[in-house]
Amino acid sequence: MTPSGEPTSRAAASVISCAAAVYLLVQLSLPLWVIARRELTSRDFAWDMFSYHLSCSKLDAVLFTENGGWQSVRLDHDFGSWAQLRRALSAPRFADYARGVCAHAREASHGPVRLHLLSECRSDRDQPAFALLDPERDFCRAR
Amino acid sequence: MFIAAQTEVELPALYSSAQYHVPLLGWATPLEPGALERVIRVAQLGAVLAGIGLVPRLGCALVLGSLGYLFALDLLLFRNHVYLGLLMGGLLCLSPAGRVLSVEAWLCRRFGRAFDTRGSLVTAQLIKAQVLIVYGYSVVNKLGASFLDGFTLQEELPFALRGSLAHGLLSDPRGRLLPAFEGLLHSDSAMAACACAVVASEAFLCFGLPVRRLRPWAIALGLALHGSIFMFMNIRVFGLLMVASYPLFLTPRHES
Repeated sequence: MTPSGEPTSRAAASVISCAAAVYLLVQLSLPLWVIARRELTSRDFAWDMFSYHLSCSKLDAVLFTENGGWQSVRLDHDFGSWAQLRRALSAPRFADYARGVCAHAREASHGPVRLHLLSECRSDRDQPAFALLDPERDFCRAR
Repeated sequence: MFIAAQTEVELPALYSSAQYHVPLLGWATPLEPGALERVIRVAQLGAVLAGIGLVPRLGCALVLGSLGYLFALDLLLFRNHVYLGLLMGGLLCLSPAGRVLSVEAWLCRRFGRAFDTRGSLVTAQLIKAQVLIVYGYSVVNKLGASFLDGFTLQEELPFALRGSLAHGLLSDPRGRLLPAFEGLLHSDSAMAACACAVVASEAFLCFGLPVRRLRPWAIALGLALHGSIFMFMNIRVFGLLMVASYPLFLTPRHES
């Protein structure tokens, strides 16, 4: 039925029903998929509103270049807020970010470069602190 | 959505090319302040048109296009209220919104023109379903120990409080929180009780809104919940979007 009271044609009604069903299916399954992944750094598209808290007592991206030695990467220059940075701390996203940092460092130093992420974070009152990403992993080495 | 757009215009640095972005769509490129402001103005124009009901579908489309671009620009800038606004805006775009209370409906009545009734009322049912999905998954997400034991609220509330209305009421002239309230924030059991109350409220909203007998109580609880979140955490847009959809639950099914 249309708002003016005219009956909707059978074809139009089928299209509308199918579109509505697809919408509902996506809206019901997308959050489930996100929740099932149990990511600690982001649960976007899952209606996660303040349901968990990640705080890091230590978070340092350290870059090695031949002429500069070990230096911290200025994460505060590349990310405007903790929420943005936190979302970039999953392995694939950080690897993508590191690709740009490493390329820039390689160009400047003309030598080998290494990048590691050192972190100590908590998401629970009683659990011990943990590293978000493997601190031994060199993000400048292509995988 | 007007308020949401206004908030974005105050954050030009977040969208600049100096920041690292993870675009949802590859073609969405970072914006410099001037371009950002123009995009935001388009969103605000759309929000006003949709709000007063003058070419409301065009208004919704303008909001969708402009805020949708900002949304697609960076997944690191994901915010639930923008996502919800885009979903609801999209559904409104496909609905025959504004056929009673709108400038366009008034103009049609005044000049004897026929109102454009294209669009499907199914979208109203989808908006209602969307609201229930949001409350439902919000509960599912909060069922972990780190929320229920009050840890999350204890960590998040002090930051959220700083810009809130409640901060002015609960702090001394030097801006320090009153000792009694500070004590509550530091009490594990008080925060755990608060967390359980939030989960129970959202669960009641999810199951109560669709049930006629429980609906008045659910609406009152929803207003109280979103009002408190606004007071204590300064979160406005999300609550407004949810509360604005409550009248749909009051409308008879064949009219919504």
